Amino acid sequence: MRNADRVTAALLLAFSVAFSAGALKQYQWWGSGGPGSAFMPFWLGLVMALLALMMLFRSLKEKNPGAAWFPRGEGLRDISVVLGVTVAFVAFLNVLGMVIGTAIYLAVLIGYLGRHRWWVTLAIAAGAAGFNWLVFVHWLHVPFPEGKLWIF
Amino acid sequence: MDFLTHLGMGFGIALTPFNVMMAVAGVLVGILIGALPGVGPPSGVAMLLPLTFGMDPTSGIIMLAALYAGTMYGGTITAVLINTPGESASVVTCLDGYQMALQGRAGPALGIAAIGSFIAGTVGVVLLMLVSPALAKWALSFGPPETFALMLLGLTTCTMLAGDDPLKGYMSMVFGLMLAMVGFDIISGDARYGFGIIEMMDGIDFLPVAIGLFGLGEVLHGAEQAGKAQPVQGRLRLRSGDREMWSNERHLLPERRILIPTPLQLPADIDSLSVEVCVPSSGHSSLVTGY
Repeated sequence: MRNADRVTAALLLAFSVAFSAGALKQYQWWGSGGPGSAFMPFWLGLVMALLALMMLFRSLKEKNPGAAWFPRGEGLRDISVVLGVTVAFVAFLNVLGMVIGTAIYLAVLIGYLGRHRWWVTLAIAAGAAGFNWLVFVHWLHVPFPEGKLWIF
Repeated sequence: MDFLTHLGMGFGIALTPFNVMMAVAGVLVGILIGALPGVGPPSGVAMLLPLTFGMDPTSGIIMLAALYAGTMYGGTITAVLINTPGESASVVTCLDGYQMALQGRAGPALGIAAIGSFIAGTVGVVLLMLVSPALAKWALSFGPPETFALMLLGLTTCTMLAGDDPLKGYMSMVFGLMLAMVGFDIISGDARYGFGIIEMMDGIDFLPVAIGLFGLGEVLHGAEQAGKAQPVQGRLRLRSGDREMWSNERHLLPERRILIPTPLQLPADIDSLSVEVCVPSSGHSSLVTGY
């Protein structure tokens, strides 16, 4: 966990400094009747920076590297695929629409991670798309993101 | 004695066969809806509101209350089985329920959650009815100092959940507070950290965060283990004719002697209990409220 702690602490330190600086720059520090909208975020960011520094120092002093924390080989590849597909799913949500997007997302995940046969994968994806459309779009009228290519 | 008279009258209306049937139907549909991650009790009830159109108002309210109770329980199913809380109340169920599922004891975990929410719901509602007049008077005297003290208590107990590393507990708590900064500031009306995105002005809801942390984390962990994972062995039965499965859980129920008067206690022979009996009775718990 040592290296994981170092990376996390460094990232959080940068994030909290940006958080505090952004609050001071964008929002009002003191309003007419008391603390303004920058007050709380600024102090939160400061406290977070302090905690991140404590964690950074603690992990820098730590000699024992601990168990492996970063996935390697097949695990790394699988995680990258899942992360990549998820990011692509969100990025293309407005183009593909929720129903079609979910079906494709499911198909990729089931086919790749589950290693099922292609017709099982297709059947599950099509079934999920049909179910989602029937229940959420048709019956319950949930306002899903609509695709540019299809009407739903 | 006003209280008992009113309670009896409420039961008289609620326990007619038709109303009980409505409660059972409401709970069943509620469990189905509640099992969908992200659809919590409020949105579940809102979606199923049309079901009660054209009903007698009392039965309609009973069914809605039962729907609410059902959706509350439904979130437990995904929490126990796939470590993804269905709604915010079942986040804590993830912590131990999923561990039980990993040991092949998902059935007892679901049953315990159902029995527990029934007992707590029923006892809690009756107690609330007893003390709420006095409590309401007292609560009105709460001012900013008391509210602050409550928040401080909440944040302090938060850090206890972090387990063996307090520093990380504090960090996750502060990070949660930072996430809560997104959206309108209630004093000044400034939209903080919105980056000009309209949806961000509403702030970040609790449920997406919980599902993202638990659900997505579980998916990524599963992806890493995909090659070497062993399927969990165990039966997923909601019925419990199964002696050995329940006997493991028996020690978890000694508190029933303190909580419930003897005539209402669960039978000592827990094997004879089945979840089918308990789930509709959580509908009764909402009947007791006489909403």
